[in-house]
Amino acid sequence: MPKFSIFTKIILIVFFALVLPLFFSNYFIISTYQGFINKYVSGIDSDAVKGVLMSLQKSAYLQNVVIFATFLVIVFLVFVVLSRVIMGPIRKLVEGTKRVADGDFETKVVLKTGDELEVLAGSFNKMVERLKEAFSEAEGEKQKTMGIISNFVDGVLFFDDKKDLRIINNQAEKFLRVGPSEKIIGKNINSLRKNFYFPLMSDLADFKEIKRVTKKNVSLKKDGGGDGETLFFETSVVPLGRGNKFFGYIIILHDITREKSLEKLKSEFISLATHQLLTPTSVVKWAVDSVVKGETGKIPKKTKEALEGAMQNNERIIAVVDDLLNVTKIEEGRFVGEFTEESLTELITAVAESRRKNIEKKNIEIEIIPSEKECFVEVNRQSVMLAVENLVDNAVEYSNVGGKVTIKISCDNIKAKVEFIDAGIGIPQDEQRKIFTKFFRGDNALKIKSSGTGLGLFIVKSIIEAHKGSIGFESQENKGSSFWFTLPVVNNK
Amino acid sequence: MPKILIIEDDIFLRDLAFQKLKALNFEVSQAIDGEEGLKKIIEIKPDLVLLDIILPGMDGFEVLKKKQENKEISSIPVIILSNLGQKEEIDQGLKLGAKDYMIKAHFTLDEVLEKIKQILG
Repeated sequence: MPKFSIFTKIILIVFFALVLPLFFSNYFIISTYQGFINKYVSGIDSDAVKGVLMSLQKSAYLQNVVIFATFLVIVFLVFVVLSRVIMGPIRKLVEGTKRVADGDFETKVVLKTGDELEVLAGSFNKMVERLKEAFSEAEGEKQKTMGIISNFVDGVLFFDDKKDLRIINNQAEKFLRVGPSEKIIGKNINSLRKNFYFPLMSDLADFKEIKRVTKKNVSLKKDGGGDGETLFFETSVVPLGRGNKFFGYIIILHDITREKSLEKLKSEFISLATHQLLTPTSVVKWAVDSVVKGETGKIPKKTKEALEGAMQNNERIIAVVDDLLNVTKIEEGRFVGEFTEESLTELITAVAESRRKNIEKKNIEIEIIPSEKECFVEVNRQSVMLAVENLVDNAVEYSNVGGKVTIKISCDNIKAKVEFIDAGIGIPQDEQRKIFTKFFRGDNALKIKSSGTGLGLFIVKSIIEAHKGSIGFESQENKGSSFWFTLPVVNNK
Repeated sequence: MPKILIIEDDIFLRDLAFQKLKALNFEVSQAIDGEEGLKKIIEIKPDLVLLDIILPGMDGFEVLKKKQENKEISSIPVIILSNLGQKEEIDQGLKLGAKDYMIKAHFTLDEVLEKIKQILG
């Protein structure tokens, strides 16, 4: 309710603007009359004249009172009419707006005053009509959106900026095993995480602020922790906002159980196939090695040479199987699994140490030039080690006996660079563009090492690129090669 | 001489390893599957076990697990000698307490022998 209605205000205005001045002017007139009369009366002795004057005074009083009273009556009547003509319609409009504000869009204000108020009522009715249309349109859109969200194959949850649950679709209810009777809408994530055994919920509850889309793979037992089927989800937390305004988080639960089981089948198949291929090669390796070393008795030189050839080719099969396994892993994206922070110098020294046998065999001198300050990179250690192994092996393999290989590490605030410099056979100019393609082998390289698989540099490139790094080389035939790769450095170092 | 048990289902590999170790005067026993292998570990209490992973019936990981659970034999060192060589498998083998995980195709028998000597001290 308003503090003062318009009616009250008009009464107050009329009272101060008309009634009060009128009262005072009457009072002034009467006082003036009385002054005159008193003046005359004091100088006159005649009682008759006095009487006349006194009655005159009385009649003046009476006249003023009557005028004032008439005026009040007129004012009162004006108010009555005003309240009928203006206040009635205004009240109707006020009631109408109240009903609309309460959500009743069927409201219509009918006024037949023939004046501006009728026009106002007409405009008001049109406005309500428009509002009704806009609301039903918005409601329709909302229904549509909710329909899409409800029937989405992914589970969808929406938490507002206070992390209270606002929307959960059918799939998410199914995935999270929320019964239809459970009233979880409006509940905070901190209370929900007690019911949900969903790791992401806890993650989100722990996160102070998620500013960009965050993805995570999680697993969930179908029967809630028993021996039942395990479901796998790729979960994304999407922060929702526009400009500086933050609305909340959308959580999407994408069921990847099928992909996971296919991936597992494939991985098991490859693992087993590799195993089956490697077993006979191991028999050949062990047996031929033993014969070549004369453990089974002395053998003629020619037989020994033939067996050494067989041994080399057996090694080639082993290398191909190993490389194919690596290529499969790379193409599946499995190589870039867990990332850890690593010191490049330490990692490269470890690889050089593990290749010591090859290095000593060719009497190669390896010089590692570390960077001025430590370069830290966030990588999958195993795969980057494999990449470095390949580059070190190549540098050693294609160097001349007694040669030198230099590994230079450097970094700035953005990226780290590692160079592998040899003075070996180099890569012929016309073959350089094919160097990183699968199964490619240089003509001069084939002469030195026939057992290469042609997959090494392809693997190296794939690994480096999977780490958002780049790779390149400079080479001159018979002078040597310099291969390099870069990796992004860890920012806070 | 130290007692060595070879658990390997491939007859050629088993025989090659057997002959090599025998020639070096090791006391060598053999088992062709996981069950027999575990039985022989308990019976013979070898100084070292060469264990394959893909075996008929009980696989090498299970043998290793059962061996670790049995206090009497849990301290016997095991070298896994397998051609399964993915990271997950190597991790699992080492986690289950194997002293080393060697991929057969990557090592000659002499290199395996070196490792055996190193572990036996």
